[in-house]
Amino acid sequence: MKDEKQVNLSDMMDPFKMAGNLIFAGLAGDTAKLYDYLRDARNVLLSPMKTDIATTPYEVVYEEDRVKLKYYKPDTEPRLKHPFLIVYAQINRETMLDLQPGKSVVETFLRAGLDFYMIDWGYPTRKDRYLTLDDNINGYMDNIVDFILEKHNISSLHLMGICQGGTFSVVYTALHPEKIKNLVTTVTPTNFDTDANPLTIWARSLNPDELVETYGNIPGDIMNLGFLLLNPARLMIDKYVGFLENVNNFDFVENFVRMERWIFDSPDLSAETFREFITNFYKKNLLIKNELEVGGKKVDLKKITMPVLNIYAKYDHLVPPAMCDQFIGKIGSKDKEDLCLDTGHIGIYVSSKTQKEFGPKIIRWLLERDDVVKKATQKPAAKKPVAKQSQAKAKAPGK
Amino acid sequence: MNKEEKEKSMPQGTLLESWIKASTDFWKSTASMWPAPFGGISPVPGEAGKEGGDKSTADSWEMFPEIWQALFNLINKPVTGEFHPVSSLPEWMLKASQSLWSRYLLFQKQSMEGEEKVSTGELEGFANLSQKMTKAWLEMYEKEFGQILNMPQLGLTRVYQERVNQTIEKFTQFQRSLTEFVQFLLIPMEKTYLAVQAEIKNLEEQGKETLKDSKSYYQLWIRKLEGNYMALLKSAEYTEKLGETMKALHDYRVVRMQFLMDVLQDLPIPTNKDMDELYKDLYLLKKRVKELEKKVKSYER
Repeated sequence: MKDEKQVNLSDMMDPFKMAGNLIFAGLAGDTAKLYDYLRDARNVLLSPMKTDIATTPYEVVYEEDRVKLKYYKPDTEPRLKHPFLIVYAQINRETMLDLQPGKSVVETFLRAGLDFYMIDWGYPTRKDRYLTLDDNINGYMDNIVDFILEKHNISSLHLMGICQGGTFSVVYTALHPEKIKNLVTTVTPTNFDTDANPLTIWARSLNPDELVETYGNIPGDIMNLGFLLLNPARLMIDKYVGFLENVNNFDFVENFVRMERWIFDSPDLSAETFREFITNFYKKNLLIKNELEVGGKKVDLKKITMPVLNIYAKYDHLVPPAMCDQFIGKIGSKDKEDLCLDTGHIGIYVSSKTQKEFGPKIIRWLLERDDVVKKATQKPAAKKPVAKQSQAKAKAPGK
Repeated sequence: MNKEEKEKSMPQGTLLESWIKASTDFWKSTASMWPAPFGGISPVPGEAGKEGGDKSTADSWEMFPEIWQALFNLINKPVTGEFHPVSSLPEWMLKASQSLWSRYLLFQKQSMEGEEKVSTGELEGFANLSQKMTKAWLEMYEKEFGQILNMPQLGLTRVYQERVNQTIEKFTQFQRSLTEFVQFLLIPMEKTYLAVQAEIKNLEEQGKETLKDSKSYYQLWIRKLEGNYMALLKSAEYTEKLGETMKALHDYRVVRMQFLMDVLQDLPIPTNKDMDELYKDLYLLKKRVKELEKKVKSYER
């Protein structure tokens, strides 16, 4: 009889065999246990699951091309005097902030009485391939900010950026500081001159022109493959071994499937935006050097003088702390804070542990800095057709 | 072996010779049966079926077997006037096939040597072994097939033929890069295997109890695998290999797209190029309209 401790040569080279052995070897000795495991697994996999994500109700209040603006309103009277806008990355979807009940940043904010807007970038198609950073930041983002300011008849709002959306938010704030009351950046890459992450090493050696010529818009699947290759042992093997170990646990499987649905729901990235992002950020690191230009205007980080909260994750494999922790030192603000949490890139938003730190910290920080309300100095243009169009949504001009 | 010896050693009246003779006879008899081409339909109205109705065309049909014979005469030398030297044709073919066979046998030999090393425990590394086999295959490809694909093409269809050849060539290059890249990705697997084996052996030699169960083995394996992958993924070699693979992918997709566009041109389907031009116009127009609307809006205030 084969000793369980004996390691077979071919098994060690085959991760699937290895995983299979791991799961079944312990159970094989006990037939009843193995039977229970397989029966439970079957029951779990065949039973109906609630794997929908982003189920919190919202209202689409603005649309421009494929870009939508979602508005979330709490049941109670909103506590913030200034409107609050969240900008997610164009890689993956903003649904991550509302992945599942009990582990939802959206839910946390609403429970605390915060109303907020969130940009849904949509799914770019081939016709969006010419959209540049300027179109995204000084176009869509600026139009959305103007729409919100006009709607609230106010001169500035709170801005929160996530990952690449954080980088967009930093650029936007430097270009339009007068419209931003407070800035929150979360897992936001601003320094790209680091070898802490294989992604920065690879991106520096990439030829974005060739990739754009090859694909046009960069397919989400290609980007996902790149992200998986950042840690193949954990992301392509260990993760699924964990799944097999817990496949007889309904809650685990349900949450796992939700996460899988989110991870592989990846829109393509517009070709020109990708080209610019790789060239100006990853290759030349222009932002942190204060040499970046967007739409012909210089992005001067010293112009960011409002309060800034910069949150990043200690174990982030996509945006490691080295990509985030120089930002605060480069801006002109006096009220600024770095916060490094003991979690990873996604864990910061979805782990049970950080749910108690991340959301509440942002809520406290914003409420403390939400004091003086300045009305918009100019007559708001929102009284024109934009506001009249619908209670549900307004369409942007030029659509 | 000189030519005379070879001719002697070759049996006269080989299958090939018989076939060529039979086909020549067939064409000759076919040509004589038809007074005009295409079963007697003359290109000159009213002369269909008339004997000698289109003599020039009929002549050209009769010439066909002669051209057929001349072609073989060109291939085979020396030309003796008779349809004789078919016996030297295998020499031409033999040379080509000999070259291919020698490459193939070399490849086989290298594969066998590698497999033998694995079976006798003389393992020098799966990845290395696999790389050597790939290299041998590529050598064979580059010195034989690859050269044929890069031959200059002539005539009206030159461009199209070149595109087909290039698509095959670039696809092969991409497959080559991809294979090498995947082999590279397997290196940490092999390293981890060796490291885990060494660790277990070490524990046993020290008289310590080896790992308790599969889970402990797995944890040890995955931890080491992660470390080995990290080392590989940050290495300059990996980045270089990744770059090569991406470049090969780009080159292949570009020629494939050109080839597909040639095909699509004959169909009522717009190509990506057509659509991109349209999208660019649309993009610029929209941008302009948005700018103008912003200006109008600012004037209204």
